[in-house]
Formats: sequence, C-alpha cells, structure tokens
Amino acid sequence: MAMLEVQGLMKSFGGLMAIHHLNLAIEEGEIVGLIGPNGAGKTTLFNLVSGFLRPDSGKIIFKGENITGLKPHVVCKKGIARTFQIVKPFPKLTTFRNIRIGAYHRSSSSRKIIDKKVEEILNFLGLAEKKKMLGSDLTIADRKNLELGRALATGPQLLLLDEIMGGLNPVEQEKMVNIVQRLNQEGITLLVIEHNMRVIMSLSQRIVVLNYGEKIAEGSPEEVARNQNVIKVYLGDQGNVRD
Amino acid sequence: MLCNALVSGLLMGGVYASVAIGLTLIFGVMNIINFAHGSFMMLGMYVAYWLFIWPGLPPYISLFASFLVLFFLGAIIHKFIIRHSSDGQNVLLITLGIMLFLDNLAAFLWTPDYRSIEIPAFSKSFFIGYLAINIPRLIAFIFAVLLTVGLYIFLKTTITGKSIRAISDSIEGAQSVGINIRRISLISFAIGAGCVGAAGAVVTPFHSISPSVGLVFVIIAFVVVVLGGMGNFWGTFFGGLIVGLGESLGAMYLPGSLQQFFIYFIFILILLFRPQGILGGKRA
Amino acid sequence: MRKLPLYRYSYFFIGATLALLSILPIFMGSYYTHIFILILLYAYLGSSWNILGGYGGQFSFGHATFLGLGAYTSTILFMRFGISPWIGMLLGGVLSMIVGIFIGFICFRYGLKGPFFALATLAFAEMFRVTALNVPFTGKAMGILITIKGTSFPAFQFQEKIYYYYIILAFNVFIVFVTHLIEKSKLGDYLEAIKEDEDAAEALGIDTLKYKVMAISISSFLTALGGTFYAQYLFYIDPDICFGVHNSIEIFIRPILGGLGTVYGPFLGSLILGPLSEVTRGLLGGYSGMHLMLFGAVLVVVVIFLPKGVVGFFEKKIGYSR
Repeated sequence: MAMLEVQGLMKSFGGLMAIHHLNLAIEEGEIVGLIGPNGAGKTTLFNLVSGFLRPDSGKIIFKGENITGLKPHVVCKKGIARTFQIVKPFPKLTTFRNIRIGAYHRSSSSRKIIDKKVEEILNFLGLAEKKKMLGSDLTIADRKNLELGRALATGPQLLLLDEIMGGLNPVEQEKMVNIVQRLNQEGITLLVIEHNMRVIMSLSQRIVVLNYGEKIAEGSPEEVARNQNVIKVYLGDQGNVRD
Repeated sequence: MLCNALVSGLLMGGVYASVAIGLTLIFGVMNIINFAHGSFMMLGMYVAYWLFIWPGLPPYISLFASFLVLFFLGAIIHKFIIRHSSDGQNVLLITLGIMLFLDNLAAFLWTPDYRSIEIPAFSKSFFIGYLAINIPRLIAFIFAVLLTVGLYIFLKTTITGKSIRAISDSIEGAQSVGINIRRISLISFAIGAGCVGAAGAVVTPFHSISPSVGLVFVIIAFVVVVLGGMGNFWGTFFGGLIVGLGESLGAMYLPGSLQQFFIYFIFILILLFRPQGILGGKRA
Repeated sequence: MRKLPLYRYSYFFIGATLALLSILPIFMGSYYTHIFILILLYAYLGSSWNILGGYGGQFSFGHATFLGLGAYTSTILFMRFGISPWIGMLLGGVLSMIVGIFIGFICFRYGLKGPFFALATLAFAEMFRVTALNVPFTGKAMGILITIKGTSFPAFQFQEKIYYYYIILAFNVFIVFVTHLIEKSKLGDYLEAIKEDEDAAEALGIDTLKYKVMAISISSFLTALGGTFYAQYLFYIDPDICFGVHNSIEIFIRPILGGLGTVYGPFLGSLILGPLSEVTRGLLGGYSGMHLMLFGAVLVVVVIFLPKGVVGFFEKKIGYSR
C-alpha cells in the first residue's frame, strides 16, 4: 500500500482546468520530485493534498485512509505537513515560538518536553543562535529553514516541500539538500516541488512531471531527462538539447 | 392601505438607494468601509438647512452646494486621514472615529435638537385613485434614479470613471497602465461623499435634521450596499428599494419597531450566505 | 534590540499601582469614587473584549450584546424571581457564552473576517437592542428598575459606593490574572499564530475555527459578568444603555488606545480616557455625548500614529520585544 495515493483527481477554477485526472502514488520512504512548467498545477496539487482546496472529484488516500476534503489542520494531524512557496513565518513571533507552535499538538506533554523538541529542531537546522529573533527579521535562507522547522515540529510522516530552494544561494542550497536527505534517512517521506533541475535530479529517487494539470512522465531522473515529452515541454518543439 | 405602504416603501427605498450609491462607490470600488458616510449625509442636510434659513434657497438648488461642500470635505479627509490607513480593519476604526467626531461636533455646534424645513408648495401629495404619492419623496426618488444613472454613465464613459473601475478591478493592473491611484482614490471618495451630501439635501423637505441622523442612515446604507452587491450600482439601487419596501411592509405587519430586527437579520444572512449580494458584486 | 530586565521593575509597578488603588477610596469623596468605578468597570469590560479583539485579532463592534445579556439576565432573575444577582451573574455569563459561541461559530465558519465580522457583530447587538425594545418581557423601552433594598451583599447592592469600588477592583485583578494565563498558554500562542497568518496556522495543525470560538466564548462570558455589575451599580437598565452601539464603542476604545493584546492595555486606556471624558464633559458642557468627539479623535490618532497603543509605544521606546 502506498503512503499517499491520488486517484482521478480533478480541479478547475472557473473555466481553467488546473488538475486533470491525476493519478499518483508515493511509497513510504521515497523522495519524489515534482516538476513542470509554471502553471502546471504543482502547488495546486499540494493545496489539494493538504486540504486547502477541495477537489472537484477524485480521491486522496493517505496510509489507507481517505483524506479527501478534510480541513488542513486535520490533514496535518494525520501526518502530512507542508511548506509554502512564499514563506509564511509568523512575523511578530520569535523563531523559537514559531517552531513551538507547530510542536504543541503532537505531544500533549509538558512545556519542557515541547521546548526540548524545539531546541532539537533549531539545532538541526542551524537556527539555534537566531532563536530569539523575530520572524520578520530573518534572512530568506533562515525563513526557509524556519518554514521547514515549523513543519517538522508537527511530526509529519509525509512532508510536502514547495520550492524550498527558492531564493537560496548555491551554498545554502547545498545545506538544504543535505538536510532534506537526512530527513529522509530518518524516515520522512518527501514530495518536493522544485524548479532547480540540478537539485531535483540529484535529490529525487523518482520524478513526476506535470504539465497543464496532467502527468506527462514519471520515472527515475535519468528516464525523465531523456523523455521526449518532457524535453518538448521545457524546450519547445525544436527538439535538440544543447548543453 | 397595502398599496400606500408599497408606494411609500418604494419611494423611501429610492431615498435609501441615493444614500447608498455614494457608499457603493467608496466601499465597493475602493474597499473603504466608510462609517462616516451617514455623517456626510447629515452635514449635507445641515448645509441645505442653513441655506434655506438664510438666503432662502430651496433644497433642490442647495443640493449642489451640499455636493460641493461634502466633495471638498471628503477630499480633505481622504488626503489627510484615510490615506494613512493600512488595512480594512484600520479604515473601519478611522472612519468610525471620524463619524464620532463629526456627529458630536455637529451636536455641539447646532445642538441635538431636531430641525425641519417646511416648503408648503412641496409638502403636498397628489393622488392617483386612492394612492397617495408624496411629492418631495417622489422628487427624492427621481433624484435617486438620476444619480444612479448619472454615476453609471460617469463610470462607463469618462476617463476618471474608467480609471475608478480599473482600480476596482485590479490595483496592480491600473498602476501598470499609469493610473494615479492616489488621485483617483481621492476623487472617488470625494464623489461618494458629495453624492450622499446631495442626497441629504434632497431629503430635508420630508426628513427632520439632527446630528443623530447620520448613524441611522449609515447602517441602512451598509445593509443596502451589501444586499445589492458591493460595487454594483444597479444592485445598490434595487437593494435600496428592497430595504425600503421591507421596512414599510414590516412596519405595517410587525408590532413596534421590529422591522428593524429583520433588516439586520437579512444583513447578517447576506454577509454569511451570499456575500456577493443579490445582484452579484464583490464578495464581502 | 536589547532586552532590559523589565520584569523585575514591572512587578514593582504593578504592585504599587494595586496598593495605591486599594487605599484610594478612603481619601476620595463620592464623586471621585464614582469616576474610578467607571474607569475600573470599562477597564474590566475592555479587558474582556481584548481576549477576542486583541489576542484573538477579531474586532467585535457588538460587545454590548454580552454586556446587555449579563445585565438583563441577572436583573430579570432578581426582580421577577428573587434570585440573587450573584447567581444571576453566573447564569448571565453562561447565557452570554452560549450566544457568543453561536455568533462566533456562524461568523467564523462562514469566513467573516476583519471589518465584516465587526459589522456582523454590530448587527447582532442591534438585533438584541431592537428585541429588548419591543418585547414586554424585557420591559420594552422603559427598561427595568431595580428596587433599592439598602446595603445587602446577597442582593448585590450597596448604599455606599466604596463597596462597588472594591468589587470592581477585584474583577480587574481577576481578569488581569486570566489574561496573563491565556497569554502564556497554548491558547495564547495559537491565537497569536491565527492572528498573524491563518493559513500557516492551519497547516500546522491548528483548528482555527475552534480557537477563535474559544476566544469569543471566554470573552463573552467575562463581559456578561461586567454587565451584571453595571446593572447593579446603575440600578436601572434599558435597551439603549445596555445594547446600544455607544456602549460597544466605549468598550473597545480602551484596549485600542491602551494596547491590543496586552494585559494592561485596556486598564491604561481606561485610566487615560476616563478622566479625559469627564474633563471634556465639563468643559464643553451641555450635550452629554461630548466625550465621544474626543473618542473619535483618539481613534483616528491612535490607529494612524500609535497602532500598538500606549503600551506598545512604551515597549518600543525601551526596546522590549515580546
């Protein structure tokens, strides 16, 4: 049984078909990359899975349970966490409090235990010295880390990352890739939207390509890179790929 | 009996529409929730009153003066106060503050006493069969129609009007075609204020004048605008008629002042379940 | 920003203020005691509002609903059924809480936010006012007079004002305590998160609807308790003085001036506005709504120049971050 299954998902906005009959399966422990041109429906898919949007039809099944149409906070409690493409730190709260907010619900235990968990996450992400800084004062790299830290605090089994590399310089990207790989080693399944081809190809074990709301290719990074449809979508009909 | 209630309800509805039209321009187009709208109307009434007492001008002439006074007052308020507000909630508080200030300033200057304008030639009603049609209210109704049509044409044909509509659609889009957002926002607000000021003047032959009038009308104006659809002019017009009719029929069939209860009730229902209003406009 | 050891000083200030307030009535005559009772009453009501408005970020323009429900419940139970207003106060609180949950649930469930939530709460308050005005059970426009029985603790009425003073002071201590608890709790953190970014909060597992409703239920309960005090102090209630929009304005203007979402903001706001209103009333005389002109100006000035209120202004000056 796959960890996350998307069956026959359809979503349109007005006359625009954003997701068209999408089928997808993600196995436990995978890192799956989700790529496609702008407007392909990647973030819409995230919004549907995480409960921010309701599909017009189709099913979303997580660990065997139908989570279609459940509200975002319920989906989070089931074990799916997400980051946002445009980061949403709580601007007037400290980094520490930002992450603590995510940590509350998964342990009904004492403040002490929760605070300890937050410290762990801060250290893991290299945010320990910035823990008293306000969300609005952080650099973009730190905000991305904060966004990730908050999501991690909820104790997810499946993590949806929406362009976590956006705005990071190569050094920061390198660090983030390491973090993501370590998260995967610790047992978290990941579905990652990314525009940076180099990153996504090296990070993912499997890649899904969307275009106009449909899946046009799926497979290992090498397979996808050679796929004619994918090449056409990214480079136009001219065909020849120049390095 | 019923027919008279319907007629007077419709005529009053026209009045409500004329009060609300300015608000739908400000509210619906610019997303400014203007609590001071009733106060503007109240001031327009006082302008007409004083012009009647001293130079003896009939309100149907001084409505232009009311328009101008409130146009400028609105412009000043917008330029120096409203422009500094950051979001909807703040604007609401600011305009509420302006309302409190203006209403009580008026009470201080002119006492809370009710005043009225009596124009014998206009206070009569004429009769169609046994339907009594009150002349000043009819004139107010016609004014409402003219105002709605006039604003509609203004928005559709003039450059300023089109700019206003552009901003209402998309601020970024309007900016990218070079529309001066600040100037147009100011003008919209001023026009809205002017319109309701003029409406105040038109109403003076049959409605008493007092500082407390503002609060009553601003609430009705909000209900009408939300009911008809924010930013939708014809929606506001028909919304006004509906509220007028509802009030009139309610007063007839319900005990005491319970019809007010239903007006608020409908308002809440619309906010909850059909925020775009009956005829469809921006979502509340 | 350097963080000063503020806490040590603040406990001192708070303690000193409380001590001062406790001995004040011994020296004040009836008139000044009355002024302070009103200051403390609206500080209390403002603090109750603050839980929903300041901490929860949902501005209610209709808190008079809860004040009125508290006032009418305890008064009707006392005058018609002989039940002690203390018990009536608790029952009024419960009734008010139920109404608050209802209003909160349908407004938040259907996505009313910001100014539209404010307008809806105003409409609800008006609905209650019009109902009370027209229904014989509530005495219609004439309202209800509370029979004076002389000083009697069970009947929650006293001939000397000083008793009222200490009761409302106790109310204030109570609500400062409650607010402080909320601020430091998970509820406080969650409300802050919801206030700053509702979507992010939802994505983190926070049931935003539930916590907003929780805020309004606490707020409405506490406000109603103040309503009973209000009735017992004035010995008279009617639809206007209980449910009127002016009352709602009096309630929320204190926290806005003093500092939204702070423990002492409403108290500070009331401390400033109370005397100012009295002075304005005296100076410009005659018409009784004069202080409202002041309130109007205050609202405009505070929203533009002091968005964090007086407390926020001082916090910024000394470099304190929450």
